[in-house]
Amino acid sequence: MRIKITYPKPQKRKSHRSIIIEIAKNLFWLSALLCAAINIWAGGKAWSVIVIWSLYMVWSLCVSPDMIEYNRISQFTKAIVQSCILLVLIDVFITSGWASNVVSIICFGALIAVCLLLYTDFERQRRNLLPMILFSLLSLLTSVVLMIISEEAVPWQVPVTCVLSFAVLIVCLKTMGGNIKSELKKMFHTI
Amino acid sequence: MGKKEAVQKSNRTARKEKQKGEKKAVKSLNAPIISLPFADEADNQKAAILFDDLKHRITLTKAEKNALIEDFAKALKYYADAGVPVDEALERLDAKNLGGFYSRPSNTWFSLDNAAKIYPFSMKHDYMSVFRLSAYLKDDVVPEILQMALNFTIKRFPSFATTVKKGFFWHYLDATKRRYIVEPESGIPCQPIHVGRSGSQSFRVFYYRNRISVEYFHILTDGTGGMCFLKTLIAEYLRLLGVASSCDNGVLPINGLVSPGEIANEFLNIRPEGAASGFVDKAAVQFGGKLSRVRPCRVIHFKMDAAALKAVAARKGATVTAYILSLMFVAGRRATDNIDGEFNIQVPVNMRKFYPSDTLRNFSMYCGIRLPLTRISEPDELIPEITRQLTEKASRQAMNEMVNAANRITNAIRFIPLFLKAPVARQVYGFLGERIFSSTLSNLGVVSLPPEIAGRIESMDFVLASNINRASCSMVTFGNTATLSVSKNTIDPSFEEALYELLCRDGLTPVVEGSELIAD
Repeated sequence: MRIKITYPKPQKRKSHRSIIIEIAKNLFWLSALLCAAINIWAGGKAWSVIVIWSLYMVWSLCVSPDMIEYNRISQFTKAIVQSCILLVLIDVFITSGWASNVVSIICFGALIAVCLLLYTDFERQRRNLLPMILFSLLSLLTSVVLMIISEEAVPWQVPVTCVLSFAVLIVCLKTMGGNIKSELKKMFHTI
Repeated sequence: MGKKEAVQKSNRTARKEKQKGEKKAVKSLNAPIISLPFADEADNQKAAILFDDLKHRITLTKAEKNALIEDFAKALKYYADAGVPVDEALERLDAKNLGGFYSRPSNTWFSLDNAAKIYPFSMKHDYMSVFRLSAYLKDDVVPEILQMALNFTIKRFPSFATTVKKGFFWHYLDATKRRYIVEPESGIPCQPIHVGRSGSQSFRVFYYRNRISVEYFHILTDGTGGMCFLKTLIAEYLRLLGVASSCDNGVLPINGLVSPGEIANEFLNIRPEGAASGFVDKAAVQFGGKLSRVRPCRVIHFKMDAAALKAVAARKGATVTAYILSLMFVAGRRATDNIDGEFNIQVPVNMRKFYPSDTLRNFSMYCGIRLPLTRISEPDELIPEITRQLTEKASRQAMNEMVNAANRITNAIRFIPLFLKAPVARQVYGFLGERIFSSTLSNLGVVSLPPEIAGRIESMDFVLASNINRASCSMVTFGNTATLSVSKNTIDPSFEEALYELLCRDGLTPVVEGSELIAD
C-alpha cells in the first residue's frame, strides 16, 4: 500500500506537557502515599496533610493547569484560595492561633490585586468575572462568620476584608453593566 | 481671467480636500498603513471609501480592528493583482457583509447541549474531542480571500463564535466578538485546540494547497453542523472569487437571520418515553500496538469510487456502513494478538433522522456494534449480524432510551457545583468513555452542494480524533468519491493494511493518501 503524502511535514511538537504529566503523576502519587504512610507510622502531628495539599497545589497550578478558563484572574484567585487553605491546614495541624489574621490580610491584599488585574486589561478580563465573584463571596462569608463567632475582639484585617470583598462585589456588578441578570444567569445556569 | 482664476481656485480646493481626506483617512484608521492597490487614482478613491466605512463598523480592540482592516486591504490587493475591476471588487467586499457582528458588544451565551456536556470533562492536555472536515478544491486556496470569507461567515454561526467558559454548575459557550483567523496547515490533523485563554476560538480553519479544513471542538457541533459551516464558508469563499451560488443544500445565507432552531438544544425537546439505558457496557478489546505519544500519529484516506462501493455493499446485501463495519472487524482482528473478548465499534447516529431539526449544535447519539473475536473471520459472514445489530441498536427506540438516560444524568447532577462534578465526571468518563469501544465508524453520508459550488470541489474528507482507540474511521461521500479516513494512534500498520487488502479484494482499489507517520 503506497500512501501519497498530502499533508505538510509535521513540525516538531513544542509542548512536552503530556510527558511531564505522565512522569509527575506517578511521582506525586508516590510522594503523597509515602508521606501519609510515614506520618501514620511515626505518629505525631498530621504534617502529611500539609504536604499532600501542597503537592495538589503544585499539581493543579503548575503541572496540570486548567484547560478551560485559564486566565489571569482565575489562576490568581485559585492560587490565593489554595494558599489560604494551606495556611488554615498549617494552623489546624501544626501551630494554631494565627491563621485568621494572616488569611484575612492575604485576602484583602488579593482583593485589591484582583481588581488591578481586572482594570489593567479591562476589555478582555471583564469576561472572567466569575472567579472574582466567587472569591469575593468566599471572603465576605468567611469574614462575616469570623466576626460573628469570634469571642474576642476581631483583628482589624477581618472587617477590612469584609468591607473590601463587598466593594469588589459591587465592582463586579458594575462591570456587568446593564446585563446583571443575564450575566448572573450565564454564570449560575443549571441546564 | 476670471475663468482661469476660478479653475485655479477649484483645483486648489480639490487638492486641499484631497489632502484633508488623505489625512483624515490615515488619522481615522490610526495604525495600519493601507496602500491602496489600484493603478487608477479614481479607483483608489473608491476603495478609500470602503476603509472609511469600516471604521464605523468595527469596534474591536485596536489590534483586532487593524488586523480586520488589513484583511480587507489584502483581499483588495489580490483583486487588483488579478485584474478584477474596482467596482466588482468593492461589491464583493461590501462592508455590509460584516453585519453588526464586529460593531456590537457580545452579550449572548449558550448553555451546552446534553451531548456536549461531557466533552470538557474528557479533555486532557494532549487530547480533546476534535473532528475535522475538509474540502479539496480544484484550485489552490487564496488565503486572503479565505480569511475574508471567514470574516463574513462567522456572524451567521453565533454558537461557533464563542469561547468555552466555566460556570458555577456547568460549562457554557460565551459569545466572543473577535477576528477569527484562518491558518496555514502545519501539523498533524485534530490536535488539541487551546481553548483556555480569554476569547479563544473553539474551532480552527486551515488551508493547504487546494484544501480547506475546519477542525471543531466537539463541544460546538456535530458532523452535520460542522458540514453546514464548511459548506457556507466555501460558498462565501467562492462568491468572493466571483462564483455566485444559491443558498440551498445546506449552504446558509451569510446575511440571513439566525433562527432559534439553529442554536437549539434539541435533546430537551425529546419527550421522555420508555426506559433509559445505553451508556454502561463492558470494556472492549483494543486493536494492538503501543499508543503513540502524538495522537493521531497518522491520518490515512482511502478514496474510492462511490458508485462501485455502493454496488459492492448492495451485492453483499448490506448498507455501505454495514459493509465497512464488516471490513473493520476483520481488519481489527488482524491487528490484535487477542484471541478472545469482544470488539465493539461505536457508530454515531444522527438524531435528525428521527427528529427533523435545523440545529447546528450536537444532536447525535451512538450505538455499539459488538462481536466476539472468535466469530470474526470473513467480512461477508459478519454482515447479517452487523445489519441486525445496526437495525436494533440504532433504532429510534434505542436512541430515545439513550437520550432519556443522558437527560436523567444531566438532571440529577445539575445542582452540583462544577468543581465537585468535574473530578467525578472525569473518572466516570474513564470507565464509560472510549474503553468500551475498540474503534469508531462515523459515516456522514453523501454531501450535496449547489451545482455552482459542487463543480469547483474535487472531494471531501472527515477525520475523527480518539484517545485510546488505536484507529478511528470516518467516512464521507462527495460526488463520486467516497473517502474513508483512518486516524491512527499507533504506528502498527496492520489495521490499515488489512483494510486496504480487503477493499482491493472486493475490487474497490482505493487511492491512498495521508499524512506522514510521526514515530515517538
